[in-house]
Amino acid sequence: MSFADATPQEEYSLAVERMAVRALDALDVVGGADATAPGTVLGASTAELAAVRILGADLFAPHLLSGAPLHAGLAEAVAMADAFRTFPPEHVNGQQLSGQQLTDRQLGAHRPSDATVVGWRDWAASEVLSRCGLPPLVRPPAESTPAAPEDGEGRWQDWSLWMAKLSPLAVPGLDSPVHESARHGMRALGRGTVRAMLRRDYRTAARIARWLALGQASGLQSPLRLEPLFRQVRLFGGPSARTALDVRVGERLALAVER
Amino acid sequence: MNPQVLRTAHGVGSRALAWLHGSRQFGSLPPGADIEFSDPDNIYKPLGETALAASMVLREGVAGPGELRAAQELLDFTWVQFRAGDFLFERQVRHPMVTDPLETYAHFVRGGYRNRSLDEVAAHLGGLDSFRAIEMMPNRRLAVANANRVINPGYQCDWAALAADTWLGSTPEPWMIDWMTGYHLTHAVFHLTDWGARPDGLPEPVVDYLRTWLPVWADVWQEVAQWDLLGELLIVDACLREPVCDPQSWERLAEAQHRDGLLPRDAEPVSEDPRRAFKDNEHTAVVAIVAGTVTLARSLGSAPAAA
Repeated sequence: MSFADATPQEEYSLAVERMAVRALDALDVVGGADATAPGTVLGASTAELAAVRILGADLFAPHLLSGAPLHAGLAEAVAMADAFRTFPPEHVNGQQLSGQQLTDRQLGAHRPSDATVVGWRDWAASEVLSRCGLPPLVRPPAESTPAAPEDGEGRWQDWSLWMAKLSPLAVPGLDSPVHESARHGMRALGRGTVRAMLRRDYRTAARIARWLALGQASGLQSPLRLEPLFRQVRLFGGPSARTALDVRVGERLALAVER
Repeated sequence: MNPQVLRTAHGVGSRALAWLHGSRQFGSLPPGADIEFSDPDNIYKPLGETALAASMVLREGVAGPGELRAAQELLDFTWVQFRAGDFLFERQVRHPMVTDPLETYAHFVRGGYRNRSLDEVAAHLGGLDSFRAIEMMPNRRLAVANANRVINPGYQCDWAALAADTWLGSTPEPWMIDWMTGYHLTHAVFHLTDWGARPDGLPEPVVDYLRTWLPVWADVWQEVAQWDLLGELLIVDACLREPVCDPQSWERLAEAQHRDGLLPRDAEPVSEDPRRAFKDNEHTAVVAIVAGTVTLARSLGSAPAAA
């Protein structure tokens, strides 16, 4: 669906929301069976393909949460492969920079670039895609992953915001230096979540809290009780389907432990 | 805490003390003021808070000679305003079920003043079930208990039960806090620790809770320029055995402070009328003095009061 008076950006945003709604619907039905009815086509338009790329690994969240089988026939997988062809990943990270080319400044940087965020999200999407048996396989970004802040270090704000941008990686079955960093930063993630809640930035709160839920699902102690937190976001957080998706994924992860 | 932060904390508190001292005439009780203030919060309560700030500077003794002299003069000034305690005594006699006279008197006791009649009344009221059970918010109940403890070191009560009744004592969802609850929690800490003298007065779960969430609250209210509440949160930080807030919070307070020492309570423009400016911001001066004093004292390791 396109709107005659919508800018391309608006059209993409609407497509992302629709795609998130679709993933939400799939969360309700996936449980070993394919979410997509036979013959369903995802990514019929450029805007939809853009939405698939933006949603990234989250498109597969229903499958990853339920352990439903991944295969090349999934509509999500077909669309993602198509989306990667239409919008190829930036070739500035793993492909072009070797480890030797990294400067100390890059290695010591606490604020990773936006390209690194995109690089990790692309890696996550391609990693799931490869488990479906489809290309491409995107290498992880070469820029170093910032370690979780130590207590008293005072950079939990920036770090937790960075982790919010990487929330699509917070699903079962993926592992990377980002995940390792999250496991060491449960308190900082909690602080970032509470800061976002108090700033009424519910979207960011839900995204950071997903990492808490993932940590909790792997046996770590969350500094926050997650079930009431996600419920608060659901009730107060506005109508965004992408936020709702973060909330539902977080709830599913948290439920695995709390019940 | 690093020396630069301590210098900043001391500077903010010291300048606030100079401003409060230089503006003290604006806080005088009106001539002939009697004990029936319809609005005791307007002048009576701020005078008591000035006495609190002065008593903290004198108790900790970490200020320079000029600051100690200014603090003593402020305490003397407020004591004279209260007619050496008689004003408080008369108000207490007229209204036996109000707690503010004894709460105010405690600041003077801390600063070395006594009023025999008030001492007797305090001992009597402190032993009455009726006085202990006065209907009030849980953090206010702690204020009364701490005042009784300061006036009468033998005062006994169930601190753990009083603490557990407060918002903070239940270590609740930290993302539900609002501005007013922020003040409630700071005051729970002030009274449980007697303004930083007794870090052991905080239950361990509360200490853990504060160590995790205090930096978040300081960050959030710093962002919206709530300097008064940020200052109170920094007092809380100084009431812990080890500070946990980001050091730049002190820098932000220093940047917000005017050259004459006035620290605005928030981001609203400060009135050009000095009397109005004083009334609007005197509480924040008290906060800054206490915050600077307790931060410096704890860092220098001055001996907390015996438990």
